[in-house]
Amino acid sequence: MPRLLKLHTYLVLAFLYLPIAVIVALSFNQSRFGVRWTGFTWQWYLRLFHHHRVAVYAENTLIVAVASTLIATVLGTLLALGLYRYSFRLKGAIRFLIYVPVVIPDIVMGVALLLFFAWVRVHTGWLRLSLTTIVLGHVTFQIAYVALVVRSRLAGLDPALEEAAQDLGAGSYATFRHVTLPLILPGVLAGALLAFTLSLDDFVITFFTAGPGSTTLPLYIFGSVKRGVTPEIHALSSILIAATTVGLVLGRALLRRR
Amino acid sequence: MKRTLISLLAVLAGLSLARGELRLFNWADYIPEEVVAEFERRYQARVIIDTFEAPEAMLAKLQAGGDAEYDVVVPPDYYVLEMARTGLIRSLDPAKLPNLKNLAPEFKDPAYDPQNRHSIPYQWGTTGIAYDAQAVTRPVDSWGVFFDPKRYAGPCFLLDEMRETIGAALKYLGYSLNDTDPGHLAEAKKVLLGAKKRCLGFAGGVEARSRLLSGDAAVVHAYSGDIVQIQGEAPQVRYRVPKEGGTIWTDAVAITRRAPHPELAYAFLNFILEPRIAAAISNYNSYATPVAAALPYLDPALKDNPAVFPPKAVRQKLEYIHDIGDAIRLYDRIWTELKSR
Repeated sequence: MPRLLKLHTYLVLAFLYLPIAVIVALSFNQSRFGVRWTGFTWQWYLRLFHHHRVAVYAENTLIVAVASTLIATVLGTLLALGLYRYSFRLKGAIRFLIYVPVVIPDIVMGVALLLFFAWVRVHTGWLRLSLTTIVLGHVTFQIAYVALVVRSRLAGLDPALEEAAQDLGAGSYATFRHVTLPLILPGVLAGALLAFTLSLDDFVITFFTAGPGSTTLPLYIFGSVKRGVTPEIHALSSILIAATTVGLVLGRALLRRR
Repeated sequence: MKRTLISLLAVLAGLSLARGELRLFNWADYIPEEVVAEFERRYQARVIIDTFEAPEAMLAKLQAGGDAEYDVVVPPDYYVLEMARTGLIRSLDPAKLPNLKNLAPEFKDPAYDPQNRHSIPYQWGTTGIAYDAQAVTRPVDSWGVFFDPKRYAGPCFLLDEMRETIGAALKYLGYSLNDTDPGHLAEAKKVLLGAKKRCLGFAGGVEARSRLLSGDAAVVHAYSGDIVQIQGEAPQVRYRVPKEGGTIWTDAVAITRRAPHPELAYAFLNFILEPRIAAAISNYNSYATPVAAALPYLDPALKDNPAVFPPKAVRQKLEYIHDIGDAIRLYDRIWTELKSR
């Protein structure tokens, strides 16, 4: 039985990671169109780095990821702290509402945001579809992830530590700055990295909230599929996979740190 | 953190304030980088390119207000008149496009946009049959390789495009691919059902090409450009328009009605009609150019390739796909039945 279980594990891992391995392998393949291996080459990566247009799309992607992560990390952490520290009416409801952006289908969220932005635009003239609306869209789902990660860190926090700080004369800000924040920092950073990787490869919500001049890498990759995926795109995907993996590994490491 | 935010916002603001800007809405990877760079240099402008993956998505974005955001769009031929009628694109002023003279005669007054009133042609191609010359068991010259059991030439794939595939069956039967006669369409359905049983299934243009390259299929219904691109790497792959005729398509370039930079947009349209520029675009895409004056600058592999520029006898049998109005429902029904059986 354990041997069967082992086999099953390998099969699941293969199922999950083989497609990714194929993409990475093809990004080093000399053949431009075929799926047959004709030789190893770096040329697609080199071409990619000289592709001015792709650089613009990468820049857009990074601007969105950095800006939305900064905003969502601050808001998400504050949300988690508020839920941890205070009790108020509707607290249960809010705790439940945090999960909604996590479980709601992206497409529903995307359409809802699109309609909302259109409504605001009609009434105020603000929020033309652009990088700004993409950032707002990403923040809406990132807050939830950050808050959940920070909350799990707070749950393991010993309340005696904060009480001791206050007994020793620290005000509420000093307690937060010197005791609470350092203790939850790994959780905050892990939440931020998770939010960053989610923003980096988000397609659906970006698709609905993007305007002129705000094409991101995932949008560009999707657009290329119909015209034939070139090895440059495989190279680009491999880089995105690498960036996401590094982000996740770092996040895990931070979360484990005591 | 605050300062980072402020500088980020400044970058965002800067993006939208840049002067001399042309916003192009195009298929992904459809214009070579050096052509864009040349335009930017000559007109001291920045070109912003956004991409779409389907004409429907392009249309939806324009209808949602994109017609005031983008200057230049690249719709397929059958969208041009509809977009002009609904006021998404403007009528062109020929006086601002002196390079219209470079067009081949048959593109000066195309069926999809008489007298180029709203658009200029960008690239064109055909739909036909691609096959592996070493794998087919008999000559490939007719749509019969899909639709006639006696002409079966090897494992095949039908194209996963409703109008193209039903159109091919209509062509095989000797009708127009814009036919709306229910009787003719019923005949087409019958041969299609037979073809589906014999073939391996439906595939998009690029997937069909991969199946051909990997040896899964010997014959596929395909777009000319997709096949010409790979002939350098896979010389055994051939392409031809069947003797019954096939589809011709043209991608057009138009200026939105509310374009923020109309003068630059006119300059761009005129620019891509220049012989050397048009040739560079075609050499990059492996599609045919409508700019006759560009022929001397084309790669020989393209210029002398009958798959790119079919001989006159074949050209006369090519048909554009037209908007057929409500009759599209008949097509939809046949297509659904075909795919679900």
